[in-house]
This record gives sequence, C-alpha cells and structure tokens, in this order.
Amino acid sequence: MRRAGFGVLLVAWLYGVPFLLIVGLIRRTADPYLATRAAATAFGAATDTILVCGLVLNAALPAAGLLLAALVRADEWKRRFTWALGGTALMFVAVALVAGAATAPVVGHVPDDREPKPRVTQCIPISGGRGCPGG
Amino acid sequence: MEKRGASFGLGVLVALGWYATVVGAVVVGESGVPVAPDRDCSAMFSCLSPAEGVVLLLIAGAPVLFGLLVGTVVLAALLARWIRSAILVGTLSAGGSLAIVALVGLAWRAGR
Repeated sequence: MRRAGFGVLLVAWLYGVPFLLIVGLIRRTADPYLATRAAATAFGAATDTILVCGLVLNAALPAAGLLLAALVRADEWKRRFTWALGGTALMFVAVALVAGAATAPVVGHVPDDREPKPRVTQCIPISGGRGCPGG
Repeated sequence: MEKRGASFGLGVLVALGWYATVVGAVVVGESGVPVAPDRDCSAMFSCLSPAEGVVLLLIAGAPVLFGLLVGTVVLAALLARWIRSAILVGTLSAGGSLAIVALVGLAWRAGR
C-alpha cells in the first residue's frame, strides 16, 4: 500500500510534469484564433495556469515524496526521490533554455485577438484646438 | 551471473510511457488551440485535427516509428546491464533512440 502510494507520486512527477509543460508550451507558442479580447485573456490565463502548475509540481512532487519517505523511514524511496530532485533541476534548466530562446515572457502573455479596435467615428471640433475635416 | 542492472521489461515500459506522454501532450495541447473558422482547407492534409494527425503519423511515419522502437529496445537492453534504475534506463533509451533516429534522418537528407 505504501509502496503503491510512493510509486504513484513518482510516476505522476515523471510523466505528469512534462505533460503539463508540453501542453503549456504548445499553447504558448501557438497562434490561436481568438475573436474577442476577453477570449484572448482567458486563453492566456489558462496557459499560465498550466505552465505554473507544471513548474510548481515539478519541485513539489519530489519534495513531498522525499518528506513522506523520511517520515515513514522508507530509505529506498528516499533515495529515489533524491534522484528525482536532480531531474527537477534538469527540467527547470530545460524550461529556462526554452524561455531564454523566446522573445516574450513565457508566463503572463496574452495572445492577439481579432476584436476590432474602437474607432473615433464622430469629430467634435474644439474651439482653439482641433478642427474637423469638411468644416 | 549476478543480477546488477535494472529490469529490461520495466525499462522498455518506462520508455513507452515517455512516447505516450509526449504524443498525448501534443494532441491535448494542439486541440486546446482555437483555429480560424474561415481557413482554407482545399489542399489535402491542410486542416487535420490533432487526432487525425496522429493516425497519419502512424501510417506515414511507420518506418521511422519502427526504427524508434528497435532503437529503444536495443538501447534498453544495453543500458539495463549497467544502470540499476529502470526509470533512468527507459528515459535514456527513449531519448537516445530519438537522437539516433534524428541523426539518421539528417544523414539521409544530406545524402540525397
């Protein structure tokens, strides 16, 4: 039972974190078709959530595993989660390399939308200031 | 003969898990991106859904996938002799065979 719990934690870290980071980075580098500003903000926020979850879990899952293994004195699992922390560092380095290659920030980016910009359709002349075309 | 290395079967399982994770993440990531409703889909294969893309990859990329699998199994068998961790064996054999296939592909393109 205890073994299964640690195993699930380790597999969740091993596959879950790369999964979240790949999904987040694909969304981040994609060119989505977003009709409104609100949709673009929501899309960017969801992408940020996925990326931040991936980055946090990358460190949190092995750390939690290490802590639990130390609490129940499971030396074998302690050793495994210590190695996993090395993988955590590698993953952070990989994400940092990707982030360094990008020109815009990886987290906190809002993609372009197709909402038409509000245009001034009426000209109000201001005396002493602005005139209007045609009188 | 003493048993020093990791289990070969577990190593291959870990490597297959990596392939499944990456393909699944690409499908999920791509299907989350909204596409323009008025795009031009007249050319063949220009508007594939991610799932259709995976099917096409399985058919058209079968030789490459076969090479990838053979490379993974051979690398896992070699690495499992020296490395004790099945996770490390699987990860290294998946990544290593991907690198080998990429190198072979580059050499093949350069030689044409």
